[in-house]
Formats: sequence, C-alpha cells, structure tokens
Amino acid sequence: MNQEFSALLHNGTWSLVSLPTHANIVGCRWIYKIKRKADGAIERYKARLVAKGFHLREGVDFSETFSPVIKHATIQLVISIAVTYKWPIKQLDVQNAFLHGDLHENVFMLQPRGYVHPQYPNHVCKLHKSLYGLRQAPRSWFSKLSTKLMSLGFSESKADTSLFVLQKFNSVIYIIIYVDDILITGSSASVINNIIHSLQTTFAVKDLGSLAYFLGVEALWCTDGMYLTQRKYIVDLLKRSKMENAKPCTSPMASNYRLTFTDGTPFEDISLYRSIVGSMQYLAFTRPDLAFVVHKVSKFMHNPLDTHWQAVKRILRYLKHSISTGLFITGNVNFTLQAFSDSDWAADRDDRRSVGAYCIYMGSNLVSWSCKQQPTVTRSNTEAEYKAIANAAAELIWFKSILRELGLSPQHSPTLWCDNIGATYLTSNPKFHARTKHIEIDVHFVRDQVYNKELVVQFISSKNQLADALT
Amino acid sequence: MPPIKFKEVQRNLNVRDLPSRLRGRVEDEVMVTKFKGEDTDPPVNAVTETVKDHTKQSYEEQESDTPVITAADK
Repeated sequence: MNQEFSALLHNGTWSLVSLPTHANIVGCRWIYKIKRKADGAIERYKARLVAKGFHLREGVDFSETFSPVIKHATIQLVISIAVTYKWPIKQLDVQNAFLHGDLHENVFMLQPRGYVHPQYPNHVCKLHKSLYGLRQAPRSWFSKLSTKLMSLGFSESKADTSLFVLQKFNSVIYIIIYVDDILITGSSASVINNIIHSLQTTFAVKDLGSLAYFLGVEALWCTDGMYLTQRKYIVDLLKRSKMENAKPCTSPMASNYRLTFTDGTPFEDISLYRSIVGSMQYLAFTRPDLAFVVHKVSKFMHNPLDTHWQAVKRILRYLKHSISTGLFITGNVNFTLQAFSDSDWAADRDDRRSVGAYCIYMGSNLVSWSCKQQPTVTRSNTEAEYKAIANAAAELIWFKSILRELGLSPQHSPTLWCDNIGATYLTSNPKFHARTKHIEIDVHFVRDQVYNKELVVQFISSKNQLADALT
Repeated sequence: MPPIKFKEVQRNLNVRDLPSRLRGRVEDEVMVTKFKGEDTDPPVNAVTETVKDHTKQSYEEQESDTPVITAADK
C-alpha cells in the first residue's frame, strides 16, 4: 500500500484542495490482489487504489469511454505469422498503466483511507492524472500510448485499433494491446529492443521476456510450433464448480441431447450457472471444440433449469478429460485463407431459429471461429446456409483487410466451403427467385464478392465439412 | 453419414494433446484424483496390456474400448 501511495504521489496524480462547493466528490477504496504465476505459485501481493467510478456523472465528470481490447482473431493471426517466420514474441507489462493518462475533466476524490493528510483532513484530491476505476481511465491511457507509438513511427490498424504496425528499414514490427498487456513481435530483435527501450523512457514498462502467459492463456513453444492452452483456468473452473473429482468423459455433449427452455425444473443457484458458463465462454478463446456446446448452454443464462446444469456438468467432465490439450499453431503455413461455413436449420426446438457457424484457416492454422444463433427464422435450409456464408464472407473480408495492413496480402482469393449446393449456387447466380425473394438484400453482398473475384465459394461434402463440429 | 469421433473433431479444429514434456503439475492438481479411493492398480486391457481408459463413458455415441477377443470367443 505504501508503494502504491508513493507511486501515486510521485506521479503527481492529484493535489489536495479545499472542498469545492457543488462539486461531485468521488469515493475511493483499496483493492488487494494476489498475483500468481502460470503454475499457480504466488508472485506478489498487490494493493491498488481505485476510484469509485459509479459516483461519476456522465456529461459532467466524463464524456467518452473506450477500452483498447484486441480481437482474439487478431491475436491468433499475429501469433501464426510470428511462429511461421520464427520471430521472437515478447510480452510487456505496463505498471500502473492507467495512471499515465492525462485527465481533462475536473474530478474530485476523497483522500484514500489510511493516508489522510494530518494537516488537511477535510481537503479532497483534485485529480490531474487518470486513476483506476475512473470511467475515462482506459481511454485516456490508450490515447497516451497510441500517441507515443505514433511518434515512434507506428501506424494504427484500421481493421483492429488495438494493433499497431511499423514497417521501417526492411523490418516489420507488430504491437498488440490489450489494455495494459502488450505483445510485440517482428522481424528484427534489435528493433524490438529499441522500441521497448523507447517505451520505457515514457512508461514503467516491464519486459516479461518471451511470450509465456498472456490474458490467462499459456503459450507453450515446441519444435514445430506453439500450443495455446488455458489449463490453469480449467483447474480453477473445476475447483470453483466442485467438479475436480468428477469422472472425466470424452465428449462435451451427447449427440442426441436436446436442451429446451421448458424441459426441467428451475436450477436453484442461478449465479453459479452464470458464473461457470461465463467462464466457459472465456475458455473458448483456445478451445474451438467447445464453441457449440458453450453456445448451447449460454442460451439459458436468464433462466437455467436442472437439465441445463446437467449439460454444464457434462462439459466440465469433458474439460477434465481434455485438460492437457491446446490450440496448436504450426510454423509451416502459407497465408492462404480458407473458410468453412455451416448451419443447422431450425434445430432450436423453442424458436426454430438456426445456428450459423464458420471457422477460418490461414494455411493450416485455425485463426477464427464463430458459432451464433441467427437473428431471424429461416424458411429453408438453403437460406440458413446462405446467411452463414454471408457471415463467414464478412469475416474473410476483414481478414483480407488486416492482412493487407500487415503487409501480407494473400496471392489467391479466399475459398469459402459450404456443404449446401443451393446456397453455393445462390452466391454466383440469382437462382430460385420464388424461394429466395424474402432474403434480406444485405446478405446478397456475397454475390458481389464472388462476382469481383474477391471470394470463391465452393461446395464441400458434409463428411469433409470442418465447421460441422460447430453446429 | 457415419458419426465421427470427437477426437477427430478436435484434430480438425487444431485442438491437440500437449506433448508429454509440456505437461506439468497444473494438470496433476485434478488428474491425481482419477483413481482416488482405489487400492489396487487400475484395470488393464487383457490383450494390449495397456491401462484401461477410465475417462470413457457408456454413452452409445462415444468411442468404445478396443474389443477384447478371448479364446472362448473364437
């Protein structure tokens, strides 16, 4: 606590002023946390002073909010590129990141508990710098960091604003920002070190060395690539749900198991259900095999039944079985994009909406996947598949744009594989008019993509349809 | 279309088993409880002499153990 308080004073975070009349005074409190290493061992005890952001009034104490959060597909993509070229990937941690942001609004805060000035006990802190808990803190931090990176020659990606690219002196450097966690990779180790030193002149940047543990995801290097795994998170999840002694099983859900809103009795601990399923959603970061089942159980968050909890327990048992697995990123890839899209037409017994899914591979690396219920009911299987194609096509276009920004434009148009002949035809010809005239116009942008040779849609048999596992 | 094993699904989605050298004490925290309460050694497949996989369940759609063919069956 003393360290944190000293750092705040040294940083000039506030100055003590007498209590202004009619000013909104924000409270504050101390937060204590145990920081752990990847293997669960204690790294350090941490105390942090946070402002009670809920005391802030919008339009008075803050205006805009934004947090720099990278898309998980961008992380997979950049890591794939780095592993392919055998580039070093370094991890940086910015200590007290939010304290670096400049505050432009007049915000007054109570003095922190235990550190009230003995001479001025009734004074309040007028904040000059950002503080954890303030609603505008992430935005002002990101503004400061991006300004610094721009001054070093980086350009902000338009496809993902948390990605910065530097192309200079025959070397390419990528920086990924997730609030205060930073990954830096590129073709030149010396340029990377220079950039880290430059950042250290402005911020308290800690070089954590080679990528090992980022956002709760462990990166394990091997000779032919890298594994991304969340096994520690799984252990925590099993313990939290008291399922660590459960019997493991080899699949996350029985194939003939149907979940509905009505079959079952209300599950008594709704918070537990929401907490465990929410954690499973985070697990899907490295586990595409869970995408479908987690989507299924997530639909009942508002009113879970005991049958839904049974399904969650089955997933937990599967997690126990598959704890030693990870998403493999191989080093031998080309940058050709391929997507597989699929849908299960009207499979939901409650509202008959279809689930659309896709998975996108760059070379042989899986870089993006999705499993989502379509917002409207479709009248035919072809329509459901066609909508799934449109979603996959939109993601492919995004991938093409981000690859272009990274200086890696693919030589061939991406191929999108679909196991429905009717939907495949629809992408190239306005056939079946009578049966497709109700399909929303925006879905037909796929045709433009195919016509402009930006995309190739091809038929694939259901047997070889990789996205089938997500529906 | 014949059902595919979930292991194949995992493989297609690039979800692979970690190499043994990369496994650590993290997994042991939950996996040591696998044979908890059993005094004897885990059961062994009579033909292959490998430890039977207790993780496999009796659900009909899941993979089954390799059938053990005894002399009586022949």
